[in-house]
Amino acid sequence: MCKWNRMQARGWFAGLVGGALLALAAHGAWAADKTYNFGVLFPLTGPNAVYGDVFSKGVNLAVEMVNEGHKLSRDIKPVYVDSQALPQPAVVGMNQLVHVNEVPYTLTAFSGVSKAIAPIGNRFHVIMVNGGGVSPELAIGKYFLNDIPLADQEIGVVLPYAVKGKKIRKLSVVYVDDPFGNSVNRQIQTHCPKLGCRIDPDLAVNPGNTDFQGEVAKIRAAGPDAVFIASYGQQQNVITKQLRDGGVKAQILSYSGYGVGPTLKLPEAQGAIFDHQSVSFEANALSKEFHAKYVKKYGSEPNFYVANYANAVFIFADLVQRLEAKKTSVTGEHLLAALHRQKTFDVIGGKVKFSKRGTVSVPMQINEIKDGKAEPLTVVNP
Amino acid sequence: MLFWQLLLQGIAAGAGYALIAVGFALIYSTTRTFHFAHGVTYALAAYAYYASLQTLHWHPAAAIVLAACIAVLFGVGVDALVYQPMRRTAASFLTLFAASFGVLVVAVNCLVLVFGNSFYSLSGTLSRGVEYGPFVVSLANLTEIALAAVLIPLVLVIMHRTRLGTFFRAMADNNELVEVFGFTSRRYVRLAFAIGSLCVVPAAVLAPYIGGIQPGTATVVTLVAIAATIIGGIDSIAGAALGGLLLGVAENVGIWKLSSAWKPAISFGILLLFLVLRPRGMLGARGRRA
Repeated sequence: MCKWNRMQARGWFAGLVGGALLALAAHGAWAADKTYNFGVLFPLTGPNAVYGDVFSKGVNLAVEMVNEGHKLSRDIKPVYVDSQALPQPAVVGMNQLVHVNEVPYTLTAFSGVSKAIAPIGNRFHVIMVNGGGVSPELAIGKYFLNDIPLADQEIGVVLPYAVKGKKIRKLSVVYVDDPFGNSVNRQIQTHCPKLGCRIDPDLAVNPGNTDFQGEVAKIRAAGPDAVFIASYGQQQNVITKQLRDGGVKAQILSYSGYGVGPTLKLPEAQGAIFDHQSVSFEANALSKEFHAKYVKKYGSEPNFYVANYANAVFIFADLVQRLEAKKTSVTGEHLLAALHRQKTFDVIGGKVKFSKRGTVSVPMQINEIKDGKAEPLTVVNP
Repeated sequence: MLFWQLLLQGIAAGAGYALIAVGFALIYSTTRTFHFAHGVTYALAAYAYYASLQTLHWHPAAAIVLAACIAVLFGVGVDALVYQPMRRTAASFLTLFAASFGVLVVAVNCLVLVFGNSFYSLSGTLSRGVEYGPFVVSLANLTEIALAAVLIPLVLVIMHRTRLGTFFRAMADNNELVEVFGFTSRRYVRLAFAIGSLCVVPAAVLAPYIGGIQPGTATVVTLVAIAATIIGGIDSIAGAALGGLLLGVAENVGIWKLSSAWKPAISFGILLLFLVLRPRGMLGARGRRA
């Protein structure tokens, strides 16, 4: 009797555990069906996590705003995957998003990462939206969109301004030896001679390098009027610091990636000039609402990265809404078709329109770093 | 002029490499342990110094003492907790090598957990370049050269002119014979780890002022120490110092005409050349006889 009871108890226990597991699995599946999931492939750890943190703030607030608006039959939900800003982990992450989470739409950042995942998204028809990487080579397939102006536009604005305004005749370039840095260097090589300035020297540095004393010696020996830094994350801070420590007093120029908190606060970066897209948080009702909510939630001003990634979320919600109205399933193909039909979107900063290459052309703002902040110098229209 | 500036910077970089390589060579030549985790000693000392200054706001002298204590504790601790138990079970060289590599990987990941992957550097008088005629060199670089010029000969004096050095050299020649004569080698192994670990402290303390620190530095430093030791002659402490100096100079002068992206290729190209053309290194044979 006792033995039977123990066996019976075991049976009941196993049944309960199995039932609970089934219920959990069913709940998971039900919960997944109850949201429109999209992927977010950002660096959440590593030396570039500072960017992932900034980008995520824009995404999370936009998701909250969309879900509070109740314009969709289901909530939207971001599925975060850590790319570490490195191509290899990003490819693993993208495969997870495509094959496990089965998202039709994903956000991406960093040129190297974006180039690495683009073939997967294009092959499996998953829309990828980049709001942070600026390599001109990021027009890569019909499922890849950029809602940030690429470096060809950035260089085409900051370089003429600096060459004319600061009378730069000789320019040194320090660029990270990866797809982003190489493409920026190529843009500078194209633009500089046309503007009447000479490049001496252009120095490639390895992405993980932190000792630039040799490069600094070469630059000091060349005696340039300005140094263009095309790196990102902590490395651009180290280059800037070592340039100044090594006695290089030339004007520092850079691109949008230079405008992040740790760089702005760096004493050696004061006086540097860089550009980024101009975003007006007064442009429309959505911009004003987003700005107010962002300041309230995070206690700081949103920047263009925040706006770009929030816009990517708003565009996703807009497209899903249009598919729901037509009672069409939310797949990558249908989202892309809806995007091509819609063409122009009302987002933070005004209207945005994607070209056939999947790029945008927007006004650019040139800034100078002063007292740890980016002070706007001028806005240049495309 | 650029050549001479790069040469000066190469000597400064080489001085740092030499200090690290001397510590590695001392440990290897006396204990026959390929101490892969030597780079972690360097990173720990650098982080300890940085944290004492920036977080605890200690006086630099106290921060240096803490960095030295942590370096010695780590070196001796790894020996006591990892290598000694393995030696007692007559573990092979390869087993110790694998264990040492394991310590390096675990320790680097622990550093990432504690300090994150962020890059830390210090600004101040030491980091700022000072103009000496056509040359610009930071006080940190000059200090590194001066410390290497004092400490490396001091280690060589200890090795060749003291009773402790005689024990070390005897252990390097024939450890079993040392034990047959009634001496406990374990104590001297610990001392070798302590002195070898201390050797990295000057370079580690100056690192935040020169190139900065991050957890990955530990692996880079280990590779440099190994390359310098092999180039100099695996058993020779003086050779390791020369190897370190050669690597520093070659890396910096090499980019006079080459792209700086070639720096690692220059170091390991020299290592490859030595392995093929002169496997015993610069002073290998002389070091063994000594």
